[in-house]
Amino acid sequence: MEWTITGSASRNLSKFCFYVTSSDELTLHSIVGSDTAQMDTQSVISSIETLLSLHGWVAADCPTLVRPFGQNSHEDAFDDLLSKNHLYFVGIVIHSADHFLVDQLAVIVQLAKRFGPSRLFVSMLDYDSSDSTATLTDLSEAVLILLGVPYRIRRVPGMTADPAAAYYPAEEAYMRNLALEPLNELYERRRIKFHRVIWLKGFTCPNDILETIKVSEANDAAMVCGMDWAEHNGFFIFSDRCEP
Amino acid sequence: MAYGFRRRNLTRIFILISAAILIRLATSSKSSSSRTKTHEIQGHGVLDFVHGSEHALDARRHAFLQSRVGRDEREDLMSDIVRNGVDDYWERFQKP
Repeated sequence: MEWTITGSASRNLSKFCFYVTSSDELTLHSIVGSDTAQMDTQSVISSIETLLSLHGWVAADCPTLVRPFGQNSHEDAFDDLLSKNHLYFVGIVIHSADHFLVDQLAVIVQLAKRFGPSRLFVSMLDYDSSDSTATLTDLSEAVLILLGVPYRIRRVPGMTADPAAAYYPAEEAYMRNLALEPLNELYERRRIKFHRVIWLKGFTCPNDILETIKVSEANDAAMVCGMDWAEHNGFFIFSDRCEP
Repeated sequence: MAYGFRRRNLTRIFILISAAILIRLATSSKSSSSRTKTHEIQGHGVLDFVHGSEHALDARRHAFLQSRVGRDEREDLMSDIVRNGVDDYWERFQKP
């Protein structure tokens, strides 16, 4: 599910870094010792609050968007979904896409707030990224540790040495299987079954994820894709429609 | 008995050993053994069955549920400088 409201991603990125590191300019900005841990925890907690309120982010537009199924107008529509004791596996593959990661993290934090931290497992796969993804996954790790959300963040080298020689479907399958590895391990070793796997690709609003889960339950579907569309003057334009 | 060793003592020793094994099994779940890799999901310990399935994904109970793999594995800008420093320290101060 990808929306077309991602124009201000780089601005959000700098804002996130500001919120995480704004405690004191003269101190270390990571939790490295017990003497600074409390202060650093405070700054990370304030960044979590920013993520929760979704203020000034791409995700801040989520409650204002018009939706065909009224996801945003009926707030109690997902109560039955949330009250069930299901586990959800969130999978993200990041291939040099640091402009998305912060907003995706905001969505994960929102989901953890709705479901509870011990009903999610987050699997992030950093596939040979050459941008600031490594640093941002550090920040994601700090946020997930403080929230108590189980995760596995993994960085892997590329499948093929020369990017020009890469065969896209094979690479995609390879990285998705790597991201799903914890799912298999959790089942084989601890017999933990997840209700759904949520793939975050691009940006998705939290309510739309819940709506997609509802759709998949109502149809007994093994797999549900989000749709790529936008609202224009009360009409919904789908960008992945097929031409006759 | 020929060896001055009564059957009752044998039973006591057996009970003692089995109690020790039971306690060892109960207190050390598999997650505490250092030989297994820490980033992998660990199998069940005995106490995990007691707690039931509500805490299946409780990251504060099971440390292996939060793991980081592959960070700092590859060479970066400062790797050779760091390695030179470590080698130098070993050569001058630590080498026996």
